[in-house]
Amino acid sequence: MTPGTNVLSLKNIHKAFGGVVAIQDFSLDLQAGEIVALVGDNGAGKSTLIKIVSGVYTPTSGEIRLDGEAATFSDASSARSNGIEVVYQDLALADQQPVYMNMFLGRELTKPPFGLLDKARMRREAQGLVDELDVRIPSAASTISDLSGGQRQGIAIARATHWASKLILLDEPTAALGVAETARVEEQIINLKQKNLAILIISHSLDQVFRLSDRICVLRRGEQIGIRETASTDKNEIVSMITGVS
Amino acid sequence: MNSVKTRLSGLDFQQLVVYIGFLAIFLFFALTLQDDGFLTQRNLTNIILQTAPATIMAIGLVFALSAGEIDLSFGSIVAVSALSAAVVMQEHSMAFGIFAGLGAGVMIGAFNGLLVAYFKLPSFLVTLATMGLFAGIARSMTNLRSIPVLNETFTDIFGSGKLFSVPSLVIWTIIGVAIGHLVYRHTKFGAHVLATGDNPRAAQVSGIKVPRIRFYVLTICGACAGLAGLLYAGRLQAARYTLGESDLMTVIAAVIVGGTALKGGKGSVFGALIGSLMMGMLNNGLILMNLRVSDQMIVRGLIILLAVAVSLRDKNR
Amino acid sequence: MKQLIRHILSGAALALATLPVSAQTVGPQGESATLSSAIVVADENIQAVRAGGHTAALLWHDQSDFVNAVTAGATDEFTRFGIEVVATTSAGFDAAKQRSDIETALVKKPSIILSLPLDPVTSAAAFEEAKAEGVKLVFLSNLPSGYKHPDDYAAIVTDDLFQMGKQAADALAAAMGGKGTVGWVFHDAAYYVTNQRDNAFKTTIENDYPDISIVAEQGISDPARAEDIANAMLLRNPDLGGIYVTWAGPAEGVLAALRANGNKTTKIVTLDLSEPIALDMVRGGNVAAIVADEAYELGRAMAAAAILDLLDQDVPPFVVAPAVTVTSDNVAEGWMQSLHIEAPKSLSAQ
Repeated sequence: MTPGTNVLSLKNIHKAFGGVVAIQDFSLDLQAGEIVALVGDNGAGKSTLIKIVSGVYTPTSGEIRLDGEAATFSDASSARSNGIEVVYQDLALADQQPVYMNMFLGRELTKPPFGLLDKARMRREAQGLVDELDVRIPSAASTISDLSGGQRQGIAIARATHWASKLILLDEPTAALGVAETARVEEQIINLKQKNLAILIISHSLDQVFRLSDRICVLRRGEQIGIRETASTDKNEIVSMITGVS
Repeated sequence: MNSVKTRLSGLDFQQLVVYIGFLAIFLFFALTLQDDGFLTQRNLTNIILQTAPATIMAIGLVFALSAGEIDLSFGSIVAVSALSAAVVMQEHSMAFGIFAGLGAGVMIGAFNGLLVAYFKLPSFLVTLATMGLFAGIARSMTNLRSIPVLNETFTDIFGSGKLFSVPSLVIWTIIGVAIGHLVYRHTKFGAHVLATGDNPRAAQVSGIKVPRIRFYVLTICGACAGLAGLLYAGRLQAARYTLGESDLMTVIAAVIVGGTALKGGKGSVFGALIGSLMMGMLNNGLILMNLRVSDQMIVRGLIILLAVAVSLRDKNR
Repeated sequence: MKQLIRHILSGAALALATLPVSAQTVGPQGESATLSSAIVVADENIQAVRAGGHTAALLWHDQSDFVNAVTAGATDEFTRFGIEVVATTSAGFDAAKQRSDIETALVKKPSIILSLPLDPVTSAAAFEEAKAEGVKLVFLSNLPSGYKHPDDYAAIVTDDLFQMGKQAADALAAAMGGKGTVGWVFHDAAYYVTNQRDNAFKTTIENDYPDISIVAEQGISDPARAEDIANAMLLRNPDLGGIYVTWAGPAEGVLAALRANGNKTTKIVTLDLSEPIALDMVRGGNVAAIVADEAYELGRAMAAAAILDLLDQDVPPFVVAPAVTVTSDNVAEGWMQSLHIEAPKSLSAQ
């Protein structure tokens, strides 16, 4: 990947449901190792945008480019096979299964000759991953329902990290967490940056957005209000962009 | 502490309770019925033979429940399958009979699966309806008559035969449990079944084709019921519309006691086998205790209640 | 007592197909009947039987008043001869469970099994093991197909079905003063028990009561429709003197129809004991008589037949227990004679 190439490039994205316009004329470029925060009030269109990028929705018009190549995603699987992972608000974890099975959910490893599950390897790799990302859980064999909210979020992020080769979308990753757990998850997100992944994060917490992001993109009622460098803006400016009140 | 818990997490309390319960009941009968032949090889073999069809049905139900679905129709499928095999074998060879019996099971299961997976109807209601539908079809197939099965190869393979002095029904039980366990615990399909029952949305966003899983588990239930029908036909050397009718509650109880969650996402094929054997052992032991019929029913009901209560207790902790 | 009907529903269809309507009850293979009163084990055998240390298993098809009475009759007779009942089971009409019950009971090595085979076809293999082990088998009503007397089993015992129908005819004729018109509500299905009884009623009226004519015949398969059927029958024949109803369940519907029409003159006769029917009878309503089987005697005869077989004495292949006609005069005695229990309190309070 040459530096400067946009991992993700959205141009003039437009999405309407019947007559209702959800997103109009949205454009954004995302580079490797960059964190962009998507902010806006409820109903501003943040989730719709995430779903467009992750292949759940097809845009009504506009262009999506991945590494400079035009991309169309027919469904979530095809976005995933292109190296895009999503961490959902509800985490999408199977609670009664062990950590390692969740880590490989839908992409389980098998071994020859009969194509049976290679549980030992999945467990080993999952353990390596949680250790690397410093997700503190008893073991990769723990059952998800025995873990705390922060640990679960850690698992969800670790899973996305493991499978994403280009881009991770985070939808409210710390909404349900306490202060200490939030801090740990934020550390993990910053670690992802070092892996040279592009990250698009939705968050309600402006403090968090300012702690994590390189740039901030503001949406209001489906309209792209503007993009700011985090370093050269402040909360007041962002708040007034979000609310439309100056 | 953590490491102990981790080591036990594969075999948690819910899944352990069936083994403890089984052992407790076994020991109780072994001690109290010493002189009544409970521990004789003949009696213990009987228990396995008598529970073989229910065990096979239970394996199918483990898959359905684990995927968050239920099949109430398997008892009716058993009857249709047994009758189909018996009727076909009156005129044709054994192979056609087996094909007809299993085929009927697979097709009815697939019919349930189609309605649940692709017409998005709840499996409880679909199979409640098809339970009645196919019970009626079983009755009308032969006008309530019982059909004898005279093909001795068939009755040997599916009923009273032996291979290396092991009764064929024992072999069927072992094969069924082995394949069921392997598929359930050690294949992608098994993992996807569990994920679907555990959190269908998570399964779906992970690329698992959730409707297809639902279709398959109900088809598997039908196939297992079809095999159970063949086993009944072989064992009784006849087929009858009432076969399987009374197995519904026993099999559900066996599966739940065996550590499979009613709401999906968790289960055990091996536990279902133990649960099924436990039900058979209860029937057997209570008869040998020479209890009155009403008392047999009361005691069995109480023990099942206790077992289910204990095995579900862990949930809320 | 729907159970009484149900208990033979299962297998009897095939027996009927081969059976002509005859003037008396005949066995599944055309055997002529021996009255149960002839099946008696002499007291002098008590010591010999007791010395044998025999045991018995009772493997029933279901649970009901009828089965309880049969069990009581058999158990009392066994007790007299020091034979212990070591297992009692109910298959709940499930042929597979019956097979399992037999296997389980055999573990206790009983010398005798009394059972109602759920149906001839499925029970043939089920009783094979018991037969091979030389257990004395006495069957109630049904016979496993292919079984031969006396090698394979000791006897079949059943109700005297013809006598039940005949006594119903006699009771109705008596209540009608020997003349008038009768409606015949028969069971419209191929079931050995009900068909034998229904036809016996009809034959008796036609042969023995020249002044009574059957003017209406109506089949019934669903007891719930009895009331409609009775209404239609009464509409066409308003001056009907009596109605025969195949068993007590539908008779309750017929009774309801008569009451709704304010009809106090048409007499009803039916089969099998039922508390609501008997209540109408003791209150002097439409019901003239109920004919019941002697279930307790049936159980006694089964046990006696098995003991005779143990003693290597000849046992007739087909034994029938008598019927008892219950009228308002003998409700308490009738209940005792049939089911060996006290009549329901509501009846004796009248």
